[in-house]
Amino acid sequence: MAEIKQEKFEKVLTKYVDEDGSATLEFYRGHGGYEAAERVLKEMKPGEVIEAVKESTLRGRGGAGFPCGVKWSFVPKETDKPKYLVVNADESEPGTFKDRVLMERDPHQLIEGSLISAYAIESHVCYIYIRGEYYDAFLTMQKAIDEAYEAGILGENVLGTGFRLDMTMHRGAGAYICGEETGLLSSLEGKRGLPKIKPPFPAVEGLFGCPTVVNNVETLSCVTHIFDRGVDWFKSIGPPGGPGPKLLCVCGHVERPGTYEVPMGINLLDLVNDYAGGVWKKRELKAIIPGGTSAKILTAEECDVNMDYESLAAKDTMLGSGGVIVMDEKTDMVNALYNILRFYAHESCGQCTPCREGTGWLAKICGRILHGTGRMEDLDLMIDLAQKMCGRTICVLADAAAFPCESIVRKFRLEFHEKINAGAGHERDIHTGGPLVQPGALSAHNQERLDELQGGH
Amino acid sequence: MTEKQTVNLKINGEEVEAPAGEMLIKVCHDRGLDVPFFCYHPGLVPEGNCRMCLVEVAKAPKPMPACTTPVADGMEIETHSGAAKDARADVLEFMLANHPLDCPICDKSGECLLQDHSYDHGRDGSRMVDVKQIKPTKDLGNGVKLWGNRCISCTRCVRFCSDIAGSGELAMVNRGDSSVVDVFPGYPLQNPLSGNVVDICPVGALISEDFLYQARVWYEKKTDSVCHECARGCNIELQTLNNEVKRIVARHNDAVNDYWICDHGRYTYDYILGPERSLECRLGDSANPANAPGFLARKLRKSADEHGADSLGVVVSAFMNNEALYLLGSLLQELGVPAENIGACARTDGEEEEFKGGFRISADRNPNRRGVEAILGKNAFSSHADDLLKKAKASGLRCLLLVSDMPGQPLADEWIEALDAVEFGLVFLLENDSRIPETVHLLPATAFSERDGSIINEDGRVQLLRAATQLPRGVLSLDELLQDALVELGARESRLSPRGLFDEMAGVVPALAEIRHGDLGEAGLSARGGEE
Repeated sequence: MAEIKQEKFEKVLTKYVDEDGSATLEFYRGHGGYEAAERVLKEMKPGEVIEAVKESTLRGRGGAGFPCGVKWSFVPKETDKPKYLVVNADESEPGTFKDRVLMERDPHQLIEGSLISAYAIESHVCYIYIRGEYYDAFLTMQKAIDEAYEAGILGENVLGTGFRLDMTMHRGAGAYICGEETGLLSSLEGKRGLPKIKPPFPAVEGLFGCPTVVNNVETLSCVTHIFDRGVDWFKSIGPPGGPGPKLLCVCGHVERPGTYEVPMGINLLDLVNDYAGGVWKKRELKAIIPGGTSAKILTAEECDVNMDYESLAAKDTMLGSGGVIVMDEKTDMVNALYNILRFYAHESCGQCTPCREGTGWLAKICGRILHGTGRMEDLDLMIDLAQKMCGRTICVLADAAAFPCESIVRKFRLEFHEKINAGAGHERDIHTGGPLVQPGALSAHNQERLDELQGGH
Repeated sequence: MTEKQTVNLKINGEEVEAPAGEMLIKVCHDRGLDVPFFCYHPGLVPEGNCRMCLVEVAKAPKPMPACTTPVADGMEIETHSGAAKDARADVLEFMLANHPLDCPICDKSGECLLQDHSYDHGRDGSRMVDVKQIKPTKDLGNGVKLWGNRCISCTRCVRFCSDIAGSGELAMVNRGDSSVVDVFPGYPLQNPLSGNVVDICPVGALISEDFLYQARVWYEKKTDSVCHECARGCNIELQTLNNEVKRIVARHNDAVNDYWICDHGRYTYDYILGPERSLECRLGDSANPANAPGFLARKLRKSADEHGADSLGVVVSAFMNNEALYLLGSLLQELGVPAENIGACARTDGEEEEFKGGFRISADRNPNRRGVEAILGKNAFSSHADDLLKKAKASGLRCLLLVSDMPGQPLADEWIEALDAVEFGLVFLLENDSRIPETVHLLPATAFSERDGSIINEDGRVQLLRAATQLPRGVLSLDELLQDALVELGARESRLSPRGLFDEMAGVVPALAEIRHGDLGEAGLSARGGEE
């Protein structure tokens, strides 16, 4: 096992997560908690807070990487409508589990960051939309919110400054699409979680038609430290295009999967080898998805890359949600892609035609190849369909399905060839070359879905 | 800050001025550009989900849906560039991936947007070799059937039920390629506007049971008319085949009904050729309808000569078109019958219903009450009718003409008794009525689908009816019959066309002054004194 080289970087976001009682207000205050918020509320004007965050070049940690301060500055100053701050805690990108740690182990850090952010955009209501499956995180957060109310940190008179802020938790019901900010807002409004057309952007017309800022848990947690330690400190970590501490979740075929706090711009191989203990079972690395399954895959040769927005964009992939999925040499890439595509087919909300039909179609083709009735022309068909789904829909779920599909088929085409050739003996439809379908029979894809339903898992 | 009223943009290289805030698709359609769509409907809030109306917008990184993209100053649009056309062809390919392609047995065939767009904008062939998704086929309630496999999830019907009808029975259920419109178990479609969801379904997913397998739409004759089920005068299209009304669909008119009609109007047409429809001619010794004008003219003249014009009475209905009312008025005037001797009867009031989107069903179930009042005077329904009845009871009437053309509403018993008491009785009858004495003469009344003429709705809007079906050979419509009778009496030289008749009437009836038949068009005009 490789030696761990972590002591160079001082952890900030996850500094106390391993300590007992880190989720309590007493612990948090004992380590300087809410001092930054108090200073901001007492000494700064909302506009100055926004400018400071702009100056810090903090970029959103949820996936899109949009500059946080810029987003805040889109909220209209002169409006009769209430403004909302919504915390996106619907962490659902496959391979991502960083917000969970923050909420379960350091909830007050998020509350303080939200407090500062709400003050900046002059919002008096903050909703935390939390993934339904995160039940422990929900309980911990709720307990922390209750503590904060009791201590006068939330409510009518925040920290004695006269600023008013109410904070409410809302649990999702298990839809990936509700992590998309407009889908989240639809769900929060009590509707089906359907993404909405932008513009109008939420900052202008969001929750209940009012100006709304939606920020990720990690983004808001960073805000706390920008005001605790200063903008210059924040900018000193990592590359100028998007600095700061970053939580990366390493999962898959590594010795020590987990959430690691690293400086933005760490080398991907260093992350895997030094932090996560390297590829497991002494096997060779085959590929890594660097930013959740929506990101394009990197082959082992491409993995010598810095984990920051711009370096990954140069490799035609993205930092996304920071979900690093490591695959060893024995990984069946066809099966891996099938797994990913089934996820997106299942999670497509079904509004837009290219996504609704395309995600399911791709999954069916991939399943067919996996189960032995693939055709060589299916590979070009998959790439073509993936390209035609991109940029044609209301939200980017279609793109999120298309990116891994296109990149995996392109980069691991030979594996697909092997699967297709191995299935050459299967009986086929004489007209299409596709699977021979008996009337009333289910496709392999549908059969599998049915088995899943009946198997109850 | 003053808002700029118009913006300048370029569409396909042409400079265009458009009202600020207008959606691109409207501007393109107004200019006659073929920007195809499924989920967009001019009467509904746009949702932008079908992605069929994608157009290329300069400087935008991806094609934009024209239905949800507002025009902006300096915008440059290409609706038919290679990229725009490709984007739409791609959307169609996805649209058809799970579509059953069962056009040969689909009721929507021939008026299906998916069919039309596939011909105009799609590529041929299919690359889909996998098993298609299966979705339910079921009854949704109110005579609307769902073929889930054909559903393209455009949500037009969902938006209609929530925003226009306000009852919200329909919703999308499931996700991804299993998405389909459905109702909640135990809560079927039951709003009185539900038939509209069939009209607006761009494909054959929502089908009216009433019309199912009744006709191929391309064989049908389509005729503009006006609904007769209440005083709103909703604009409709009568679709007929082999002289039979097969269905009624809504016709757009912003001033009256937008794009909608109610189910009463939509499904009430069976009586036109129903088992109770009376087509009998009973003219003394003759049953030949060709003799009717001469017979009528002779009998009326004789009665007026022998017993005085005051012994003649006529009862019209609030279903009759203006022309028939006007002609009947002139006929009696010719004979010297006083105006008070013309009474009118109306259908019993129903319940007024108003819906979320502003659509209204009037409590007044009579299509032309305003027309009767405009032509025969305000008192026709009240004092005239009452006086006439009193007169009949006092045996003061020798000759009585009744028009009984209100579907589902037979003559009141008092009138039957009055018929019994007169020397000469004649009923223009729509539906068989066994109470009418044998001695009373009968002629068929014209049903609304057989009329060429005009009516006035409760807001005072004059609108045209056009005959969609024909009466049996030899049977004259009331307008024709009355004109011929006037010719027999020497009061008129020949029969006029509907247009000529309207213009003549408009010259006489003050409420219609300055309205010309040619100006009425598809949407009609406000009559003088109208409330619009």
